[in-house]
Amino acid sequence: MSSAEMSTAEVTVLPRPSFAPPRTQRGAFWRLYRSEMRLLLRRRRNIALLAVLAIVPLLIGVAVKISTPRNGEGPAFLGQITGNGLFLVFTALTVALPLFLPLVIGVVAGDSIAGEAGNGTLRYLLTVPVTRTRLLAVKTLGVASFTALAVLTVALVGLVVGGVLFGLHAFTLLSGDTVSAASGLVRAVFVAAYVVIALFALAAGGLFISTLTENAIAAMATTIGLAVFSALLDAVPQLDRIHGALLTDHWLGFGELLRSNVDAAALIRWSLLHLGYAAVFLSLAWARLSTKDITS
Amino acid sequence: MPVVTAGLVAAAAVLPGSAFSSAAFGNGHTALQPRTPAELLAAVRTSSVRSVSGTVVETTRLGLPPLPGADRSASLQWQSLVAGSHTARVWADGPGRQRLAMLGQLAESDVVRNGQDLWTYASDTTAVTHAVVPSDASKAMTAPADIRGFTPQAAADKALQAIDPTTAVSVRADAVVAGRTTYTLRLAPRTAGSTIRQVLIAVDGATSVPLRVQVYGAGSSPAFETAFTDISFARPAATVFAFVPPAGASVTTRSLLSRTQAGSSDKAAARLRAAAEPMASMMIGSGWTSIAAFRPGNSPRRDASTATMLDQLSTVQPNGDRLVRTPLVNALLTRDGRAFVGAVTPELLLRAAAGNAG
Amino acid sequence: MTAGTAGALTRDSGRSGHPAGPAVRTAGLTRRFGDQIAVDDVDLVVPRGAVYGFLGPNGSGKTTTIRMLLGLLAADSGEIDLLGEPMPASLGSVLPRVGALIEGPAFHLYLSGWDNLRRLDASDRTADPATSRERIGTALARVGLTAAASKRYRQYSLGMKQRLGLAAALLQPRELLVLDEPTNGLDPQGTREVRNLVRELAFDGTTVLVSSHLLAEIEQVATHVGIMAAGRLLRQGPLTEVLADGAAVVRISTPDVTLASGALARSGLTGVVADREAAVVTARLGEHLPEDVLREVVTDGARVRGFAVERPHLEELFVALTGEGFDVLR
Repeated sequence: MSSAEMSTAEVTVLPRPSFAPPRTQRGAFWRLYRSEMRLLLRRRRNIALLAVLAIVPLLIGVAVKISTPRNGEGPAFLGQITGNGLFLVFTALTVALPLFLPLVIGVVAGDSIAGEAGNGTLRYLLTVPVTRTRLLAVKTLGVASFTALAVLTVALVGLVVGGVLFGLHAFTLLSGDTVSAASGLVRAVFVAAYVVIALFALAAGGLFISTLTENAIAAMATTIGLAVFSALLDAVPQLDRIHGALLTDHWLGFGELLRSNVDAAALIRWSLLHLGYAAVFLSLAWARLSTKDITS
Repeated sequence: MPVVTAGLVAAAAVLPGSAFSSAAFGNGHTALQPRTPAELLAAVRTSSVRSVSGTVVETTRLGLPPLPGADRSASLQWQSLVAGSHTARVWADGPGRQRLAMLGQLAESDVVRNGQDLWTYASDTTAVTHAVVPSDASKAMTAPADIRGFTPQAAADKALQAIDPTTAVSVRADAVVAGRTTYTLRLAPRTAGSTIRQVLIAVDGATSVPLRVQVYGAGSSPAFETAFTDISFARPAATVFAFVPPAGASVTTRSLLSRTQAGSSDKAAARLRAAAEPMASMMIGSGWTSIAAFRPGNSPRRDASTATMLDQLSTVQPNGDRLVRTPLVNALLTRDGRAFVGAVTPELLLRAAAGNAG
Repeated sequence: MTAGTAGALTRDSGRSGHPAGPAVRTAGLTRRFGDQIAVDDVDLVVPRGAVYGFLGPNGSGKTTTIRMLLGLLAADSGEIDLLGEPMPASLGSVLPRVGALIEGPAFHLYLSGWDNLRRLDASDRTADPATSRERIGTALARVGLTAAASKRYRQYSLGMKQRLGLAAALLQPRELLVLDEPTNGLDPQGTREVRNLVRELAFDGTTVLVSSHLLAEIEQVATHVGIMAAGRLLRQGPLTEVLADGAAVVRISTPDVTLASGALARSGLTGVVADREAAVVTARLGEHLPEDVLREVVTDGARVRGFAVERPHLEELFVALTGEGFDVLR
């Protein structure tokens, strides 16, 4: 355009700026997942929770080192730790399963959505936009990863402390048969995987509860309450008909992996029960979140 | 609507027994030929099945208050067996090779018989016992006293031994146990005095192996039940029976008495036998109304909690004896320290106690 | 390129690839909470390129409307088009083109300003991770937070939080910005910066929907306004038109009061008031053009010292529409 034209025109109409149409980037979901994990792991509270979990095997290991317990006393396998440090993994998991692990998972899962809703970040995530299904997917994956991390913390610290204090030797199964240390280690890996799946059912419950409220503390408490309530029902003999279907009933079923003849069908059945719980909780969470009015 | 759908998914997923298991074990439920009781009993006795492996669930509903830790315990002690439900895996390859593993939560108690060797192992104490089985030992002696009657076969053995002229026997072909079609043998007392209403024994149609035994008292559900939840007649691997004590375990050696020794009147043998079975007992009566009489004596098991439980359960008779009543078994504990136990009415117990003074 | 005659710098209203319709359009938008009606049959129209001042007392339904526009709340009835696409059906493709600040900023307390923006950028699946650092840096610089980028959000002042909220809305080039009370907590300097920012963004072609209770501020930047009260959209349109709806008054300063008032009355103006002591004549302008009125007055021989058309300020109009006082309407 020439300056002469400019001067005669009282108005210069500029072309509309072109906004590049937004395109979905490759790997966007995993970028969000990494962001979610950073969010979880940058939080001092969550690190403190993992530290508490790490203390469980440490404390048991040191206590056993100081005073050798008699066989048959205390939590499962306690008496066998002195003979084989690998048992510390199972003792620590047994000790952490009723309370410490549900506590940690309750806090993280209960906080996952209620926490974002409570401090208002949920509305900004949703207007970015993170579609609600995608948000639930990444929150689920985040909580599942943290669950795995929590179980691994107990198991790995147990393995290291047990290995250092007592050594890793040939492994005596519940059935009295003996397998190699390596085989024992493989079983420990399966045990950890089983426990992760079992606890994921609770984590999914926490996610669902977390969609119901903007009060993160209430969601955490309710999630922990869910585990405690299930354990309570499990302890009432009059309800033995429903025991097998309870959320927490098969958590200690990992013992099956420590028998000579592992009932794989039972382990799969229990894992399917846990995954079934998770599927129900997640579909409830989805039903709730996808229709939820965000007023916070 | 998603909530409703999710609820349905919940119902399907949370009821593990419902759809899953019945589909999983189907073996084609073909109709069975009718059989008379005599034919069926003969078939059970002559059954040629040597190899069995499977899972047995035993349930006792005596209406007793739950004992602490009884449920899911792998312990073979009586506290565990009088209440609750227990699961065991069993393997058998002929009479000489057997294994029974009582499954507990994070625990297991094993009894392994491999030829002459009889091993027991308890994971909670890591205690191992070993005994050498005399070559002429009876089948019943090869298992510790506590677990006799635990498996359907053993329970059926006991029940069938008790068949006498006072027993009404009938057969139906209707039940399905562990996914297999079975005959149901019904034994019922003809005489009064027994608390047992009937005993139902489910016998596999194809192999004539007893798969389930149910003992009914007054209630509508069996007071005692033991059943296979899954069963295979394939020969178990030899490694199942090859037990090697874990390194460092302390092995207690027990001695078992041969049939001839046990049957002799030798005093030393009798003492040994008394030592092996602290509750030396005698039977009063026979068949449906038999009563076990024994002296619990200064049994170490009678601790404070047992005493408290006894106080709660028992009613004191006019003469100071204590009577414990359950739907199936009644027990009388006399002031002078004798015990009379049987699946009989309290009147029979009182009569037995009176007739066996001292 | 064509030359217009309107005497201003404007933008071409059409745009290839996208329908030329308004940036925001709602029809019959209604939302109840229980038996209270929060938004009642609202037909909002925000033309492309406009700076739309969204006004209303607390509780008038502005925020509920904005939340429905952005898919946070479901409407009971009515339709929403955002950038020519239906909401919430096209939420995934529309919202990346929309930046929003809703009811104040909200971020993770234990993350720094930078990390909070990084979190939001990572959650935008249309955001290019390769340019993430650059865009975050630019957005922070634009709101003057570069120096505080690594500080934890917990330590931010109210004004800094507000600025971070604006920065989040500016992480990507946006076609539409929805700013709910963007100057809350800002000092006069900050308020001025936000005003300039809005002008700048509008000049770059971004449509801005800005809600505020600071009417003077809106008046300075808005090209269009909408006024809500008790869930209803009472008035909307270009700012000049909306203000013109109010009775404009001609004010003539003249020593020849009689001549002037006579001329005004003959021209058909109503409410003619002559103030001899002040030497001022006023009248309601009505539908008449000011230039015609002045010509009549001068033709009649009145000497004119001053001539003004006074329109009511937004604030007066607002009060006239929504009522006086501090009462929250619901």
